[in-house]
Amino acid sequence: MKYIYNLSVLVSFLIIGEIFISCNNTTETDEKVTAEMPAEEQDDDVQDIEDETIDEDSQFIPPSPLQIASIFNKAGMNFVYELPHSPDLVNNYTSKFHQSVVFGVYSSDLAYCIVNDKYDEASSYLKVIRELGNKIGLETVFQSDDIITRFENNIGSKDSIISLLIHIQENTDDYIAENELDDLSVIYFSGAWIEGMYIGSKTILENTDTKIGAILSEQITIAEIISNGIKNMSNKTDEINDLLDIINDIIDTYHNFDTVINLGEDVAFIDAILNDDEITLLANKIIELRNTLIQ
Amino acid sequence: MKNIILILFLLFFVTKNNYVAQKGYELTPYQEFLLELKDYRKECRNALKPYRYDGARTTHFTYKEYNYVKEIEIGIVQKSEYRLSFNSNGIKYDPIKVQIYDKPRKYKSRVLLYEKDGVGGNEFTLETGAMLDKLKEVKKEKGVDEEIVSMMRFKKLYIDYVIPAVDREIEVDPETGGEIKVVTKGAIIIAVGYSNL
Repeated sequence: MKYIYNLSVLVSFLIIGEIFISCNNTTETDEKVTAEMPAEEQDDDVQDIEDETIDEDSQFIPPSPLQIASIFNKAGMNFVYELPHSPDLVNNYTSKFHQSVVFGVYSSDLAYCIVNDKYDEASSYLKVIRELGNKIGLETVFQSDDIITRFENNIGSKDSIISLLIHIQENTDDYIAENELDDLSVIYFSGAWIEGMYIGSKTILENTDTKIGAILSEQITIAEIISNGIKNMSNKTDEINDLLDIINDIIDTYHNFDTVINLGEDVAFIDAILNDDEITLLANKIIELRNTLIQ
Repeated sequence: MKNIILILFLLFFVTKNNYVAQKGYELTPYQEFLLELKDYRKECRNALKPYRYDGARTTHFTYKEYNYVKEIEIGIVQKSEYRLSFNSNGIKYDPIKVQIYDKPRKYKSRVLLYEKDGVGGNEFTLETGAMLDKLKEVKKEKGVDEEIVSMMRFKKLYIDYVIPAVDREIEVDPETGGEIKVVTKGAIIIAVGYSNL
């Protein structure tokens, strides 16, 4: 009898518990339906507005830091130890804007080291890129597999290291796509572009070479793409607007060169070979921009 | 016997609630779609071989009651040959049109370099070489000096996705009885690679 009483009490508790859990589950189901809706139905008006805005704007794919570094390397540009930004200064950057810019700067430095077979230096850059990635929301890119170990195991094998670099680029692009971090990618690419241009500018000022000069002028195309990307960013801080102004000033300077004006509309398809004065002016503007952003 | 009844009771409640809890973690159709896109991105990149990966972009779009265009700007450096790999398996409804131009939409004089209709649920690749030949041909026809034409190369390319109009579709919400406008979405992926030779 005592057992039946105990069982009844237990069953009562379980039934009450079940009713309670069922109520909670009902709430969960409601939330689940709600969570499904934004993509399909709920944000219809907002999405329409966004789409209409994007219609007038554009998405972009700039060249990767590896491609830029490879181009300078093919042009015969030698490695200069003092040019890349020191990885020891990574903690100087505390705002997300600066960390994102410097993530790009170090990505360019990493590529510059790898194409020039400077693996010890490259290893330091990979470590600070991972550290910055954690700070700007790209931690997953470096968590999926042990990038640093793979890098160290392949030192000396340029092809394997380049494959690893491409793998990181792919992971970064995927993560940006999956998490709609397009704005972050614009700033990161700006940093990568500025560093590539800075290294090219410093080299060219010390050793005028028309081949590198032509590449420098070609990089203006990338600046135009980045400028459009920044213009399309949804939330622009004062720092971002300042960056846009400086990049646009560099673009305007280029388009006002006599060499460029003389090419007319065909400049969109022809490499402009800038004269020494034009190269010096452009290079100095780029160095000034880089020094403004890098502490 | 007493213990068995007790265990059966407990088992019933535990397994039932576990099942419901698992259901709570089920992916929504949209989350499943996003996971599919992840696989498509890999396939799209793999199709670049033997070109070296340079970048990729996934373009999400919503079908509307009018045609519209989404444009992507691609940076091309040096005289490298590029391969463009498209994966449109994320388009489950009406196919779209892909057009490639030398200049952005604001230029009326831009040259259509490539066009493909019926893009949806398929994959394709193309190289920039044939498009450059077409550009040079058009420039020659327009009277541009042959020497200048011979020096021409791409610095940028513009990919236009032309999204077709669809009829407005309204459904009745079975819970509230209210009308819901059904929004249909799609996504297309492009990966870009360059010849490393």
